[in-house]
Amino acid sequence: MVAPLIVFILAFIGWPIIWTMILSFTNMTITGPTATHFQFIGFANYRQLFSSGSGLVQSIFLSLYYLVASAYIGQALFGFALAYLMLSCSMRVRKTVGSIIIICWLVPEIIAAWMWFAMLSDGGTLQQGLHAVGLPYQTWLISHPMISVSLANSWRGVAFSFLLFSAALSDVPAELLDAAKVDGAHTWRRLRSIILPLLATTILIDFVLITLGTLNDFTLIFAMTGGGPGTASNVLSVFMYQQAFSTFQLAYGTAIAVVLLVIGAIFSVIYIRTLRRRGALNFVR
Amino acid sequence: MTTRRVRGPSAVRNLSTMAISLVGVLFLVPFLWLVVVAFQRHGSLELAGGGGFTLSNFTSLFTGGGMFLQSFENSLFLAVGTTIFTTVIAVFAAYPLSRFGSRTQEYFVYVLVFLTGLPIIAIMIPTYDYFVTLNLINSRFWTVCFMTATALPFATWIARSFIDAVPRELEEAAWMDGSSRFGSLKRIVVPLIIPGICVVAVFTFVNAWSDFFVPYILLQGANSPASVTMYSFFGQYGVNYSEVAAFAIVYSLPPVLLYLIVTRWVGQGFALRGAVKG
Repeated sequence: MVAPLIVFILAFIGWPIIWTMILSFTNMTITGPTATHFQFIGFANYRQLFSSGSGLVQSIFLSLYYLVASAYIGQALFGFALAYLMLSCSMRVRKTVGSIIIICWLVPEIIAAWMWFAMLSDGGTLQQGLHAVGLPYQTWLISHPMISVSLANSWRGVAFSFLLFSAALSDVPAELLDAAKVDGAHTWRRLRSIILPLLATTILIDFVLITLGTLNDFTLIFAMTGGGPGTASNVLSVFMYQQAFSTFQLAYGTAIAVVLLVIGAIFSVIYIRTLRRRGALNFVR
Repeated sequence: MTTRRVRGPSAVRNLSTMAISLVGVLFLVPFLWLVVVAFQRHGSLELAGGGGFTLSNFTSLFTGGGMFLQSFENSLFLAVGTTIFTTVIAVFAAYPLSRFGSRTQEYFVYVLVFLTGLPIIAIMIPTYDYFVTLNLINSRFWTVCFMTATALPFATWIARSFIDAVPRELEEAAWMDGSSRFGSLKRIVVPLIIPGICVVAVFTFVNAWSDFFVPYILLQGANSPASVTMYSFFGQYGVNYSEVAAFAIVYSLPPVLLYLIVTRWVGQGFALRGAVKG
């Protein structure tokens, strides 16, 4: 009964992973003579990739920026703040705002990109709004591309961390917090000494999952800025795409893909270990 | 889920209600332009103007034929095909993975979880290459197969956790009465995990419906789904913004509606479990 699963995974995931590794040692291109008659060229792609001026260092830096700004601050921290504030908030507002945030998350990524693209464009609603109150506006997509895409990704993705933290916060025993309150522990103290330790595993799982999701995010940035202007928002995934399909260096692109795979594998292993410790992977008997 | 609450003094309560309300309003801002322009005759990037209210942008999506309708049909084909393949294969595979807890099975589950974390985007270049070589490129069916494979690890893992919750004793009773393994799966396990199957199906559908990168690489022209059609409007000169906005709204509705229906039915906790991948 497991056979179809194994066939699908081997044919469409297993083989491409192996083929990625193999191609990264060749000189294959999309067009031209080396498209079909490619040769093995050893570590040349990797030497080119890790040499200065390849753009890899800039891309890694931009990916890290995107990760910290949009995932860690814009989604995890902001999502936790929302979930925490909602504990002491009127029921109606909580339900309404919760639904709004979830809808932002459910809208297809390309549509989210389109809305933000339109809003931040030259002549878009943000410019008009700022002009209406007498403030200047430079098109952020051009002057601050990383801020633009990070804002869009926080807006889109905060629901995931918010839902995860909301569920975990509602499991924190109220008696514990009440007892601490009676003993004179203030909000900050209760947060630091009771809530955060109880949420440690949830926080770790959230960080691992949003790290994986954000490092592999492509659509939002590709659609909003295309990695530009120039290479100003060329995160790893867009960098890989451009090397493989825009400059037709297919094999060189796979060398970047291997870097992405290695990063993904490391975080996957952390994820498995966390789940195991939590008992989520245990067998029934 | 929301029975226990930290009740603060009413000043704190008012303050946080205000803060949360403000966040809610800010989150709606990007939608504002889209919704307003979709009902204008010829909208622009600006909110004002647009030549008056009309519904024609929505009706023309379905009457005009051509690109819009075709791309919805392609999206539907990809999403429905992927959902059916994934759900059926995942439930079948999850059953032995849940019931026979040998070492091999345990490692198999680790492999599945490991695969859910691997970046699919990183294997698109070789996939493109071998789809071209084997002449599978620009085929909706083979794209469905690829999308099924990428959805399977997570779907199987979730399906397994739902089967785990079905008591083994129920099946043992059926076996005593002469039922086969397949029979007890069909008559006892499947009916009990219908909510789980729905979570897997909806999650797979929403992802496949919204996917951009995979069809962008593997499909082109008349086979392009709505996401790829949508991409062609970015930065294009002379776009009819009102028509595109209407298209964007219709394209966004299925995931939102499906989520709302499923959470109503199986509860947000379950839906969250299905969404752990984000």
